[in-house]
Amino acid sequence: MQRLILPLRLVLGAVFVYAAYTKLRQPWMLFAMSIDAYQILPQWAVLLLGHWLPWVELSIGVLLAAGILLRYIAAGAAGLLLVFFTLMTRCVRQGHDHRLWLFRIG
Amino acid sequence: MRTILAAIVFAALASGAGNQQINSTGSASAPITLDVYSDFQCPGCKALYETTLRPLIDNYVDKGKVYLVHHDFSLPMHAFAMQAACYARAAHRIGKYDQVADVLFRQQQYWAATGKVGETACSVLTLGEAKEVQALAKDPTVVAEVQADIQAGVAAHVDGTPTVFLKRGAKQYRIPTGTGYQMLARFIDQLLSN
Repeated sequence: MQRLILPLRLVLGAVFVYAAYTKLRQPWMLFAMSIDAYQILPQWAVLLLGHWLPWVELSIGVLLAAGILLRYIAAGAAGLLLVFFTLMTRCVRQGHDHRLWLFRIG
Repeated sequence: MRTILAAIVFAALASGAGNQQINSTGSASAPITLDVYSDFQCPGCKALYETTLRPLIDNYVDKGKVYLVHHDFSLPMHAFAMQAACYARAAHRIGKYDQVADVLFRQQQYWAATGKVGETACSVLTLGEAKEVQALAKDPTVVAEVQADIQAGVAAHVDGTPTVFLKRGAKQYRIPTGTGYQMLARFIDQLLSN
């Protein structure tokens, strides 16, 4: 089990870095518009998330892969994935487009 | 897949659809172009038209900032969408597109349930205009224009309605489905200020 932790951590880190890359290569407003389309957050929160969430994802990915502040970063990553999963479940139940914010590229 | 798409585009061009009139609102020299692929029977397209495109026309298109190009992308699952698109396209030929598109979206539920597309489309026209539009809606060149729009949408990887592409210079962005007017306006302002 111990031998699996490093490769799994690297894979999860890569997933977060890739998720950030798909958003950062385009204007941040496109991601903000994707969030807005769910109509669950006020505009100020949409703009805040649209602007900063990709950078948070990038930080989590890099820190996970590098093994820095692992306990806190792992908790943050788990929390973020839980939020994405909850939103995806909610959207599927409501019959909406269920592509995750994690990889939403507009 | 590419061969099939190329064949579709070639067939559209060969049928004369390459010479089709552009169904648009605003000035072609506007710095931003919005290509909208929609289906008159699609509820999401009705919402886009009523809550996003109408204010966009008032605040950006009419002021020369945005050029709005309408593309028909009638989905096979909607029984009367193709017919509605033909009526709207026919109305475009006589300069009445806006009025007919508006009433088709406003009364979508009615004609989608009853099939009375022609009656709805012609309700905003004079008797003479209505006769002309009714004839044009069955004109093979009008039908070919609608089909060419659909084929162009397939070539542009449109996979549902409404689909909106925003072009600014050489860059093109696909606007996420469900984006509200305020966010779209903010994005347009951001692009215009750069």
